[in-house]
Amino acid sequence: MRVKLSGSLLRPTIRKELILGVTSVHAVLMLIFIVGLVTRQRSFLLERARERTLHQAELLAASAVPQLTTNDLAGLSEVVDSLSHDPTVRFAMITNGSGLILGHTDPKHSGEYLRDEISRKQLAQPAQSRIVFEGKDMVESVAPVRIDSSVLGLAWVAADLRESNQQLASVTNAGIWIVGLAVATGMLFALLLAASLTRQLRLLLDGADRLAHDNFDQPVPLVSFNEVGVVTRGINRAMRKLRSDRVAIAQAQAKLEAEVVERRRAEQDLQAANQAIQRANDNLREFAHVASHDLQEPLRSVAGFSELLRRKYKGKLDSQADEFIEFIYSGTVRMQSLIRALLEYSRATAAGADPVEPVDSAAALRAALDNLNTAIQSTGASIQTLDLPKVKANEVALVQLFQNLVSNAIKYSTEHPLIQISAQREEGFWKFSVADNGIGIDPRDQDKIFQIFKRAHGDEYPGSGIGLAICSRIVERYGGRIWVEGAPGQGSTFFFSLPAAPE
Amino acid sequence: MNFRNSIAVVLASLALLTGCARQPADYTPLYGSSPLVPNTIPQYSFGVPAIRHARSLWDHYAQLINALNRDSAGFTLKMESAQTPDKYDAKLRARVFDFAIVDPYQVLVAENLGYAVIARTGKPDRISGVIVTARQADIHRLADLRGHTIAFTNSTALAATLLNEYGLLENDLDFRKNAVVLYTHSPENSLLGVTFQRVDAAAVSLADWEVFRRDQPASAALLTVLWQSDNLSGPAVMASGSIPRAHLQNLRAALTQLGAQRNGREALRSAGISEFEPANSVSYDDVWDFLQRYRRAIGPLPDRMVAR
Repeated sequence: MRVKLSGSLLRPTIRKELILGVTSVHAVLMLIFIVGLVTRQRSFLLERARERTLHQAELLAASAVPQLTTNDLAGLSEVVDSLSHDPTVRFAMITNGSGLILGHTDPKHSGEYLRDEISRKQLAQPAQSRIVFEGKDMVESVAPVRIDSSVLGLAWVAADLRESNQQLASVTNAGIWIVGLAVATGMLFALLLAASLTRQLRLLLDGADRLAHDNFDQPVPLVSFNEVGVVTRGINRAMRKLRSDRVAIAQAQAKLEAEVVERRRAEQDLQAANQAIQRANDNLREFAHVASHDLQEPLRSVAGFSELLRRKYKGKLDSQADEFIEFIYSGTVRMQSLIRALLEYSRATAAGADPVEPVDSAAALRAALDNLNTAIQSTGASIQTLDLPKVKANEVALVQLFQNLVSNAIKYSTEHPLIQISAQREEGFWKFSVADNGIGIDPRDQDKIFQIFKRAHGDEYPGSGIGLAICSRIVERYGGRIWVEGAPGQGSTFFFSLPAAPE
Repeated sequence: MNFRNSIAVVLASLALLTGCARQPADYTPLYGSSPLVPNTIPQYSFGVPAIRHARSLWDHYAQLINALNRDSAGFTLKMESAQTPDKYDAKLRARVFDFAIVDPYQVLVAENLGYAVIARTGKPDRISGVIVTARQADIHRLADLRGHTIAFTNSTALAATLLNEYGLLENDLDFRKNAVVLYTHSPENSLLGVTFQRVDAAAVSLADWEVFRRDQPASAALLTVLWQSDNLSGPAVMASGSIPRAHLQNLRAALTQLGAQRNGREALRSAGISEFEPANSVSYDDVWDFLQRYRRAIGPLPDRMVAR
């Protein structure tokens, strides 16, 4: 939604606040100035009237001395009457100490007595010059008519402030006009100032509005170099960056989409390949299983009859025949061994066939060692184990794993095999090690020995080339890993990892 | 600053700045025909001879009035005068004064207006005229003034003019034909005129001469009294016929007893009066006789000396 600065009258905007602020400051300052001026003018006029009337009273008192000394009432009237022509004098009079009016600007009051409360108070006070009364339009002063220490009478002069007040009203009216003019000028100035100050801001808001609508193509025009201008430049930089980023993102997105398509295609290919492999594996396993079972049956017949030939006709035929029969027999035995190994491998690769549960690896090792008891005894192998943990696996598989590795270590050992078995915790797995002091393995062969039918050594060491492949399949079935370290003549250490069982 | 805050600030400023104290309403003095506190003791005006300067008038007579007020019972006196002798005459003729010190020639006029003589100044204050010339002038007797200029204060003063005029005529100098007469309006002017040789002689009263000698001794030292007239009774104190007799008697007693007290003596000295003595209408017969002689020898008396 587009934000407008000139919205509703009551909607607060910087421009309105600025105009109001400047106008208010103008109004307040001018009010202070004008009221101060008028107040000072009023005080000045009042003080001037006060001084003037006091001075006039004293002057009248001084002028009246000869007349009062001689009780010259006619002369006194002339003296008092001289003030009647002064427009600022409302009235003037000379009285004696009893309030008897001896002379008055209004002659009809001559011979009368003052009877009001204000005058009576003044008559009762010690004779001295002072202000008697200060009113809105009048200031009255009194001064003693004195010669030596004798007071001959009192001179009273009342100043008329109406003319002064009219002047003051004129000043006030002029002040009001000045205030109005100043406020209007201030408002006009504030309008111009606000328009100038908020122009960039409005452009910036428009830019923000465009930003909100993902329109980065049109930069915010820069018309000011103040702080808002700085912000505008920053916004423009951000818009340029956003624009370039958007292009880059679009390019990256296109590339990513292409990659996704490619990857999806690859995944599909991979999935198809996996399925093919799985089918092949399944076929192979089925083939191996079937083959091992189906092959064992005729092979048992070949083995049985070759055994009969060997035992029944040994030495009865020529030596070459005995040698051939022996070759048949040993080949048959070897074929049976290969088929059994292949059957075990087939079992080992049958994922999900065996239940996974916490298995005491120490018990599994003991079972394996029991199975290998004959080999251990015959070779005099020494088996050293540390505390072994429980792992998540299948007990039968784990027994076979230990059995294959220990058997392997005995097979490739020297005269006195020494086999050390231990385990070490690594995060959620236990890392087992089976170390021997055997002939060792060339590092170049350390990967291939885990492949089926791959062997590091020749026929001088009997074996089918399936045992370590079975170990690899068992470990991988439970999410673990198996590898070997060592060098020729320095023994070998087989490592494998299995998930730890819950504590 | 939002709108409401702005309005609030402006209104607050207005209220603060215009909250000035209001002046009370005007008033008009209230007049009446009687005082709020009536005077129970009557106050009488006491006329004293006119002296041009109020300060001098006050210096002359204020102590006298104060002394009489101290010594009088049952009434108070208020000094009253006029700025010129003519105005003083006019007041006297208008019977403004309750009491008044009047020149001798006015006694008869005042009596005709209802005033009565209650006292007069003492013998040292009897009036006489003197003619003063420069010491170095070649004038030794009144007849030597023939053809010379004589300065008079005015044409109507009894001592300074009438007595001197009468004396000149008795001494064979008709001043009206054989001398040049100037009126200077003040004895001081006349005497200084002789000092500066603007005139040859000054006709003044003895009292004027004494004042000049006191005030300007250096100038007076250059002058000499060529001739002095006979003396006449001095100023009288007269009372209006409306004054109660008891008050008259009280004032007469106070006047004649002034010399008995230090304050009174000082008051008399300030007023240039030696003393007051009881007097009545008969006490001024000498003045009446002189005026008759003057009229016969020289002509009509000045208007001011004639009762109307």
